[in-house]
Amino acid sequence: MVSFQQLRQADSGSLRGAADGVRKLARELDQFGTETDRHRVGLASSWTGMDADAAGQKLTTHIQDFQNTAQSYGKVDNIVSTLAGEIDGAKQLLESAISMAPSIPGSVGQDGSVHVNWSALGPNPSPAAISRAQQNAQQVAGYIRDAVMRATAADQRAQSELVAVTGSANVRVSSGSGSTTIPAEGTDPHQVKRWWDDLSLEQQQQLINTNPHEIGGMDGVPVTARDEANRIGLAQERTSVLEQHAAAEQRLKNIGMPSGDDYHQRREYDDARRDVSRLNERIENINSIQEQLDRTDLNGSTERLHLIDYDSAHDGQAVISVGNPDTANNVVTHVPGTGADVPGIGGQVDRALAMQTDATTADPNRNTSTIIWLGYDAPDRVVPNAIFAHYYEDAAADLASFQQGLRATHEGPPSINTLMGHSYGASTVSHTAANHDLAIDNLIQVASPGGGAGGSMTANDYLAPGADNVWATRAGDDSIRWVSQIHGNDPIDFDFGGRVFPADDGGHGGYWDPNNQARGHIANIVTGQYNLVPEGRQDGAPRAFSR
Amino acid sequence: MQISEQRVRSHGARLRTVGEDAESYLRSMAGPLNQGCQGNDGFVAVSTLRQTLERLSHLTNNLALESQRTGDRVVKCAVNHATNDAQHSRGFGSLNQQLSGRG
Repeated sequence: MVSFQQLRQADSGSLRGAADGVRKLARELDQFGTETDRHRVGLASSWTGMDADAAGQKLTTHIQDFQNTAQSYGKVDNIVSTLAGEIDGAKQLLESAISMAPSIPGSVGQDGSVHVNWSALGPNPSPAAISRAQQNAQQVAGYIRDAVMRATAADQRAQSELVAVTGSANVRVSSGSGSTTIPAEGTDPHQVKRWWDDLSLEQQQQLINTNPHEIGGMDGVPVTARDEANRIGLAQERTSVLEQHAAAEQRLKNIGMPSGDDYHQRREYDDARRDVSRLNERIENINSIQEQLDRTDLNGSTERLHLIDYDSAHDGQAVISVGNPDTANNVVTHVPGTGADVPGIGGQVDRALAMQTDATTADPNRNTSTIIWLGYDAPDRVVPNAIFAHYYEDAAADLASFQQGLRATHEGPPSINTLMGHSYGASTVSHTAANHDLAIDNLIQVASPGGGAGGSMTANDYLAPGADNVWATRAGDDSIRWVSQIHGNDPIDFDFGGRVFPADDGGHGGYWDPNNQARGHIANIVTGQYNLVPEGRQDGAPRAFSR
Repeated sequence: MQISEQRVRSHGARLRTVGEDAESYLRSMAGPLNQGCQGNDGFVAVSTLRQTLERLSHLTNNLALESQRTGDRVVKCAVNHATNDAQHSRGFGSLNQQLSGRG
């Protein structure tokens, strides 16, 4: 993935120089082939016999080789010239977007992030002015994203075309000091990061291209590389699954409707029907993820979406970030709960976008990346599924690895990392934090059905963070309150010992409604502005809670 | 077998020159091509371009050397033929003399 800065500094002139060079070489080699052919003809008229035949055959081979290499250089010329043109186009678009920033009013940061200059709107800007500024910022960010995507697409296209010129098997991968053997699943993310860093850029790129699923799913590999690998993997998988689906449909058609007493045919028919259904599920999951990656309406956020992990099988799994957590100052991982699945991931991404925008508004000077972590099989329904613990128990190791991976790949000073969960997701984050050191700064439980860590669990029992950074909220009309201890202690309880912040009524799913005050409080927590978070009402509190 | 020794020798020498010219031209282009692969950090195509050009350069250089070798062999064939022809001539001459002496 080409970055904002890399595109700004890109030099199409040097590429055009290379294109000119290979064009001249192509012409000369073609000429050498023609000249060789002239001498072959000359020899044929002045020499006969076995030696002459052998020489003629050898020279024919040389002529073909000269022509082939000339053609190869010619292809390189076309590829590189096209890439240079695309870079120029993308840079033009980028510079045009940057020049629009003052009219937001705002500016474009070194990393391409767009910042609204809120102070330019006056001391008390109207909601309309704020909205207009956000829309302007989104438009500029959109242009920047388009420019970077155009350059990246051209770059990737050129790369694959260049590999095809000599054949992928002929392009050597060397110069890195590391081994290209991919670490085993479950390897410590910090160890994975060291392995990745030891590879040359060429080795990394080749692994992304040849093993997109392994690289895309590996905690400890930087997010931009995982995103690139997963996008490649998703496209490849879609092609493959569609082919399988067409074959399964054909098989079903060939078997035909089974007659009443043909057991064998009935069984074959049922198997084929199951295959079609399973593949339909995968196609739906893949399309749903792709739809998110393709979306242009980012609800006011100016950040790019990254596909950090996914699995298309069954209910599907997906981990999608708004912005790049590796470079963000604040990172929020949100774990959704009961009913969350990949076909409905759009609603979860909307929440991530909302939280990212809220955090940017709360602290415009620092970047926030928000992540939807649906890397587990969430319960399908409240009853009977959500009363069982195995969903969050099964999720814990993966969620812990993911959190450790975020620390391993983060660049620059440590970010403020927040892990939050909603509903069953709250039990999931609580259970995981009680059993693994997640190196998180904040834990937020929204509408929890219990801490998922036993009846004696308190806010002091997490491996991280400390009780001062264990947060919870629940709306007064949220029906989860009737089952708030189904998975252990209720984090809203005074006895639990955490911090509670208020939320407006809106039922079980209203916490991200546009005017719900909970959004602002979450934004202040994730940006580390703890003193701005008001105290909410705790169940069983003997008196007003204060710190 | 028929051969025009002078013409074959001449074509062989020119084929060798084609190979030498190709090798020389390739060498002269190495600098500019290498320069074109510098910079543009973050563009994966640039590192692939470097690898592709290295690979093509290797193939082209081998072809240029092979072309020189083929030219050499053609010249050698012509020279060998001339040498054999002279030896055969000398052999025939000697045989003629011996036969004449017996007569």
